[in-house]
Amino acid sequence: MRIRTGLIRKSVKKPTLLQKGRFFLVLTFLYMPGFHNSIQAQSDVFKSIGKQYELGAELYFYASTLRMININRDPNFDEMIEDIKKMTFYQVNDFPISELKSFSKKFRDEEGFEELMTIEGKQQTLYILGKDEDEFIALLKTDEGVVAVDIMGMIRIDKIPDLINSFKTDNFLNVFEVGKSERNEHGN
Amino acid sequence: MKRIIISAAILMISVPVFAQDDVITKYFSSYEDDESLTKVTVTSRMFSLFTDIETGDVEEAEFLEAISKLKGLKVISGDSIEDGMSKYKDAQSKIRGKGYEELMSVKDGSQNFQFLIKEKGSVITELLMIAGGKNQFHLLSLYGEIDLKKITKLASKMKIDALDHLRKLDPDNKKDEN
Repeated sequence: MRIRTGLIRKSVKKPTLLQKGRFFLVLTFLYMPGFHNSIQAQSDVFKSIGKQYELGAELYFYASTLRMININRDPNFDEMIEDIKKMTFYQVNDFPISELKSFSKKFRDEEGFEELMTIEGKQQTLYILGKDEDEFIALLKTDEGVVAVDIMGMIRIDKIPDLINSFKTDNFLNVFEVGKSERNEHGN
Repeated sequence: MKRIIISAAILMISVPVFAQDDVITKYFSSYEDDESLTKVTVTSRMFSLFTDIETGDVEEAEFLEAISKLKGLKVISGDSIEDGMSKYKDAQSKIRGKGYEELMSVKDGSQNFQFLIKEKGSVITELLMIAGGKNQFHLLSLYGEIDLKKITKLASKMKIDALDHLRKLDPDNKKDEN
């Protein structure tokens, strides 16, 4: 079983000069030293994940930067993210899938999150948790490891799977591939 | 003291109204470690968040209201398993005599579907779907205050494959299929 994205996969057009410019602007913001410090303190559970496992990528987005990765200007995506204040992606390398469940429990026990939706299966593992109606955490297994997404702000609750899945389509910049190539260039 | 007793009595009466049947909870627990099956849980908190969604569309507003009255959803699903039919028969035997009323049975190709409900007064409090075929098995339990007319739309909203079978409950959808 899988969650299906509501977004229709369109044929991928070659990026225009403007899109390439937007791409580098996003990169500049994502990797700007000290940029992350302006954001609210990281949760203890995320810190604990970071200490135990190697973080492959740690990316921060505001609604403005999220709009930039929407290369093909999908209006559904822009509508979906309009009330998101901040979204943080953590890609965790070598994370055992069996641990995801215990981290989901940690968020509930230690940080007051409530379970909203859980999918556990061979093909997909996804935990969606919520707190105070304006913070959501999604923990999911992907082909390349485990991704934790922290969403601050409002989003239609039924759109969270769409939002996560939209990052897997070719209509958007693959932020994790971007992060990977940047790190490789710096010899990490 | 009297007030406490009355409150406790109200709690005792109201809790089972929207609680998932114990036999179903046990059934889901028994398959918790079965990696060949996918398990889905949607909590009442998730459904309650649908009340916060603003919409100008009357039909969608009615649907969101119906959704917000749901208290939970549990699904067990397997699309490439070896013993789909035996799991189907096992589930049927476990719920027999547990107060479920058959709503509809469908044989679709090699797959069998059975839809059952539990009622309290005039309110449907649980909808159960059991589906099984040679290599497939699905068990879905939806509980809370259920409006069958609106619930078929849940399939497209939640975007979970196993919920697609709920469309079989929609008479309009049936006409389309024929």
